[in-house]
Amino acid sequence: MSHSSSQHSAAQPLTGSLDEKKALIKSACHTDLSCDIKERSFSCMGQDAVLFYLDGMSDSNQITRCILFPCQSLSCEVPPDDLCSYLTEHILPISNVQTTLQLSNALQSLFNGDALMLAEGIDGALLLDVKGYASRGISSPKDETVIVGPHEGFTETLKNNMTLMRRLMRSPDMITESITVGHKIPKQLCLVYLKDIAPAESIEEIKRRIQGCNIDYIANMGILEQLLEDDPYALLPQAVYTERPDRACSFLLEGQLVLLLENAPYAMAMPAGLPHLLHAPDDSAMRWQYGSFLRLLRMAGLLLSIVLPGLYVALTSFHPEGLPVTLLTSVLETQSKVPLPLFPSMLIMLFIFCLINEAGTRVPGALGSGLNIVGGLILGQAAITANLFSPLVIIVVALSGLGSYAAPSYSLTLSIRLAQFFLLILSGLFGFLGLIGGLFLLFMRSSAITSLNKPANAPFTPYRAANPDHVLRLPVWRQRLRGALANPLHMDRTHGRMRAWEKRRNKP
Amino acid sequence: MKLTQTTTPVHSRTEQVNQRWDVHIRNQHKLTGLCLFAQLWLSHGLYLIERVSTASYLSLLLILFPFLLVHMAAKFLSRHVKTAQSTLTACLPRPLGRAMEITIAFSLLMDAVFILCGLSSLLSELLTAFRHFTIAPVIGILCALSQVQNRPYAIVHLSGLLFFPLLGALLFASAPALEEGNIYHFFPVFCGGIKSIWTGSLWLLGSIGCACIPDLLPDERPALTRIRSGEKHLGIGYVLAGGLCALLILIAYTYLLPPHDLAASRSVGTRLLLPAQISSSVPGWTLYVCALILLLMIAYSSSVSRCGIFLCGTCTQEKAAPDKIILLLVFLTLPPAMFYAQSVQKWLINLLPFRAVPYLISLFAAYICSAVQRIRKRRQL
Repeated sequence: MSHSSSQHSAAQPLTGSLDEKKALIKSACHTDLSCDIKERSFSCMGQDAVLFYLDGMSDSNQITRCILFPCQSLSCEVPPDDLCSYLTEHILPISNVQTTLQLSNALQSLFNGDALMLAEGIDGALLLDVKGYASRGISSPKDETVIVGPHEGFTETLKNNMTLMRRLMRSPDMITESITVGHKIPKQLCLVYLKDIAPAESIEEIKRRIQGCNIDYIANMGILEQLLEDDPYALLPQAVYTERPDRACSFLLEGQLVLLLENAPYAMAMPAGLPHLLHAPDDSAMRWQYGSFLRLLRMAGLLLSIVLPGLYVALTSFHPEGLPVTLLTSVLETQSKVPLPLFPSMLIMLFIFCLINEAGTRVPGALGSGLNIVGGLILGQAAITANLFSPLVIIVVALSGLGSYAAPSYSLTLSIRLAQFFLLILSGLFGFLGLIGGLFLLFMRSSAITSLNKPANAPFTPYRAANPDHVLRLPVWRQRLRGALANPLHMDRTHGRMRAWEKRRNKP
Repeated sequence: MKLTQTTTPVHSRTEQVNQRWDVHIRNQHKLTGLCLFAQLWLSHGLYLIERVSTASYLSLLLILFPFLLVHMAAKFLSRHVKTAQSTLTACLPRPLGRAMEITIAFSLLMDAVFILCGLSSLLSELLTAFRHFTIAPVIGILCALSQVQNRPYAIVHLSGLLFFPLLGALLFASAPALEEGNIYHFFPVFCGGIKSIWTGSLWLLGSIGCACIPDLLPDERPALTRIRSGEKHLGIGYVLAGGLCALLILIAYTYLLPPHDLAASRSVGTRLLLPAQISSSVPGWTLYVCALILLLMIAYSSSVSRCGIFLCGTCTQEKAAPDKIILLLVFLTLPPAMFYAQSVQKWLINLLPFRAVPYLISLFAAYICSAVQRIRKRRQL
């Protein structure tokens, strides 16, 4: 590791006398400048020792009880060459104790919250796991609320998140590989997959990409996603996020790979395609009829959201022959009172809608809902009364906005918003030609997208007969196969029928 | 606890490759079906129904001529080609193979011009505010943008997704027209004559062949082995389905409508919009127009893309033609559609039926070459 300190000091071995090692650590950590790096000198079995730890990252109670008290209370003389093993095996009541001869490892552990113990007679340093930083407790997910299903969500602590997943997948097949990313300030990343299901080529590919991330610091999962995705210019996201451990585990069972990052309260699954972005977490928990209905409703909403503003402008401005006379008359009557032509007024209204939405999201709690009421109701009513906008325009924008909210994924909602503007502008310029041309461009782009080298629109296109849990949420007992997108090693989830207790009708 | 219930993989890697190959073939044929649909529709717009539709209808009823020929060609080529660098260059002496590929590319370019002329004519009817020559560049730009920096299989995947929705939309939109017609107008369909049957069959063969030849030889041995061993050759059914659907709708419109509508002198765009005007339903009209524009855009883009693939000799390698070639081809198709649409269409009507000739020549030449090689081997032995 090359920490915040200079590169040359981090690459050095941690050897020499206690004073030399101490000086090396102090120089690398800039202890004279940083106030949270604590140094505690003490005597252990007659030998001088020193302990480095981070105030706030390590548990001071544990340091006192498990390191200082046992070491200082010892009176017996032990030869210095046995000190390390004697301390590890007999004295220190700490579950995870490691020895290192590398300064980089020592610094990484120190900044992860471990205590670093140096002593005369110990080669290198002892890394003592006494992490004890404050973290948020497990709470219900804020962005993936469900009516049916568990209410536990990921937190910012990587260890907690791994535990949450492990609690759901109590199997040795679940592999959790720890990888470090960021060359200046390293961060822990955990790659989780099921050994007998996730394909080896995907695992190798994601590791290759992670190792190829040449960046100083990864602040959040979004940055990691942008570094790992196949097509950075595509509108659609190529990874799916979840705050829910149960959903992350369901991704594992489909052969996907899940990434957990330190300080990220969500997991990222790859490869991911359009179906994953359209599915809500509680679809699988409901009976199949309800789940299927909700999915169809969601998809219709999304389609409406993308196409409706552009279609309305194209029909009324360029192809009025397609509208019935009564509707056309009504449109023209309402539009005649408005000073702006239809296309600019639709564009402005859509922009205002996005503005209200963004302001409502950024303004804190109670103010946000108030802002939405002011923006949505009062502004809308005032705009109609003042004849600034036609009521039909507001209805169309409201309907398309409502449709975009039906998207379970926030990334998908944003991509829908951009697609709305793109299609509206093309429709406003070229009518149906613009609308259909724009749709064609979007379709073509999305058909070319891959996620971890797998076609992201599969199994819609290319169609692959596998788990029928795509457009409709068909019954669980018919989902004998896993999804084909991730190309899992074992396609079948079970032998024979799932409702094995049920007697077949044609047999007595 | 073992999370995987099976001990052996359900799909081996070879099976997975085969499955992907099958899907790819199926989608390729769906794309061909859509192109065929689009061209039949445009032919209807040009009042070619006597010349093309009669023959196509009979050919599709009998099926044998184009379908069996292509299928036999697939088997023949798969037996005689060991490496699949390029379909024709592998079978023929290299210069001759390249010449054939370029000829096929030229026929695909003619298709693209034909479709672009029809599409711009349709849109000039719909977009009255625009002049005819301004519409073709917009279509060209949209199609070029859809091709640039995309993988070659994007349009194939898209056809797989839209094949049934597009056919369904056009059938749905055309359903009200069936009530308006008279069954006795159906009978002129058989009055095309031998010449029109022959030209129509050639045209169909060319349309199907341009899609099938690149599919015959993938760069994967298992797929070659499967074709050779006579296992299922997926996808041709979709071409037939596309063609039949188009013909059904054309027959419905052309022969079930009053003859004075057909006899009147009208532009291609007006004729293409004629079926939509029968129905007064707003969703029906919108659906029809949108589906037709999308269908023609797909057909135009795929013709340009395939032309580029043949020109670059990458028709069996899952490689896209370079973006510059695509842009150049789009640019080449624009002037005829912008300024000389009517005369170009008349010229193409006579020329397009002969687009099957390069396929027939290349197959014949490949057969001769393989026979010569066989004789040489025997003499050596």
